[in-house]
Amino acid sequence: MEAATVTTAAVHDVDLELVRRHRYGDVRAFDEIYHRFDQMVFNLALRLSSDAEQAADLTQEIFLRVFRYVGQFRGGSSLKTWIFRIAVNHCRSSLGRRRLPMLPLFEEPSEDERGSGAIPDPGRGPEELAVAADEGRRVAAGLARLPESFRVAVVLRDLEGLSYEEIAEVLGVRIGTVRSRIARGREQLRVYLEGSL
Amino acid sequence: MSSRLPQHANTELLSAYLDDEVGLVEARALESHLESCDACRARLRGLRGVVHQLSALERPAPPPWLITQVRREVLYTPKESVWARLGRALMQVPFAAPAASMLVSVTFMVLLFSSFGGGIVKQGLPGLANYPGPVEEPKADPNQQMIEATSEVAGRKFVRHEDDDVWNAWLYSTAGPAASAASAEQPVKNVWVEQGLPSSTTPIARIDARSPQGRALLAHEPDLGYLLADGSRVVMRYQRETLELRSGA
Repeated sequence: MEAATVTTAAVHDVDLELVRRHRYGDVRAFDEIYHRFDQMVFNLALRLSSDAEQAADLTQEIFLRVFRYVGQFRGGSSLKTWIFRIAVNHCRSSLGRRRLPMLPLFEEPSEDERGSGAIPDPGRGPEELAVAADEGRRVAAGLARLPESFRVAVVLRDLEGLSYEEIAEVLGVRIGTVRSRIARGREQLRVYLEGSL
Repeated sequence: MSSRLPQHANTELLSAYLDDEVGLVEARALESHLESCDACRARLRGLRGVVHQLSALERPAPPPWLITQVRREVLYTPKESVWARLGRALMQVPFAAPAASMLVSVTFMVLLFSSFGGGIVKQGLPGLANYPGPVEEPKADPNQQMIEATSEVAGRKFVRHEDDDVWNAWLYSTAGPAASAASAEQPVKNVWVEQGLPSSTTPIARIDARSPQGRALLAHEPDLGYLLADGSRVVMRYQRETLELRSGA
């Protein structure tokens, strides 16, 4: 527990140092921020939009907002949750205008939706890889069918590995609400996956 | 202390248990219940399977060109000023918007016509953010009618010239009138000349940043991309030669 606290404090110091450098015009600081968080922002946008091209656009817009406002970051939270908060809010407002894509939960996924598979494991044979890829597509399709509030919570927890406390901070809700959304999202996904076998 | 669940465990408890997000007492009670309840064990297994499948989902990296696009965009994104932040905060107060807009209008008029206003007019309103532009504040040179700024990139200092006449003059002095005329065909936005470059040196090559040589150079010194991002050119020493690098935009 002590080691975890020390690590968190160290990360926090790195966050503040990056922001300080950015404020003083160090051009590399923003690059470092980008490279630390680009994958998590892109994946969140990808899972919320279900479209790689749109996810790239959203990621760009999110980092522009981060660039614009990061000078105001005072370290009240971690930079990670701060950026996730911007990312979630931006995806919601941006996709909300175009209606956040949500497919009916109990319908067979179409071929077009099958874009995101599981991580290929070089240790497995071609047949196993094909099965894993197929399973990945089913999970991604099921995830895309979850209601938006459940999907965000599940993505932040199971794909991005945030704690319940961090998710509550990102979403601005109580931990009990996070717990409920994650559980309901997982349960709906379990039912979908069992039904789509 | 031990307690037992009165009935089957709910999904919320099972899901939080998987994440180690339940208290010790609650966890012990659930574990005790699971020992004797096949149905709850099966549901827990099902949820664990979902978590496992989700964590195995691919997490692709964003396209590699995105960082270049973001860098280009931030050049034109001003950082939010203190006044803008204050204005935004004021607007969030109910009924403050009409009063605030009136106050802003009056203040603006007072500033415009007062001695402070003279200052604003003389200095100009805040322009683009200084990211990733000049490290030092731009300073006007009344004699040469140009704005000069310096930027430290890739461990070198560059001086920016905004006036294409200056560029032509520099070219004329180094490469003669033919080069100057050729350069005039394309309007110059900014030219970043490495500080300390001998004025007698002529660029031996003009390299497009998108060409194989340009890409190789940028791979070696990626920060030069900041200077090129808005269509500027960069004149620099490279391996004892003087090169001109163009964004190709």
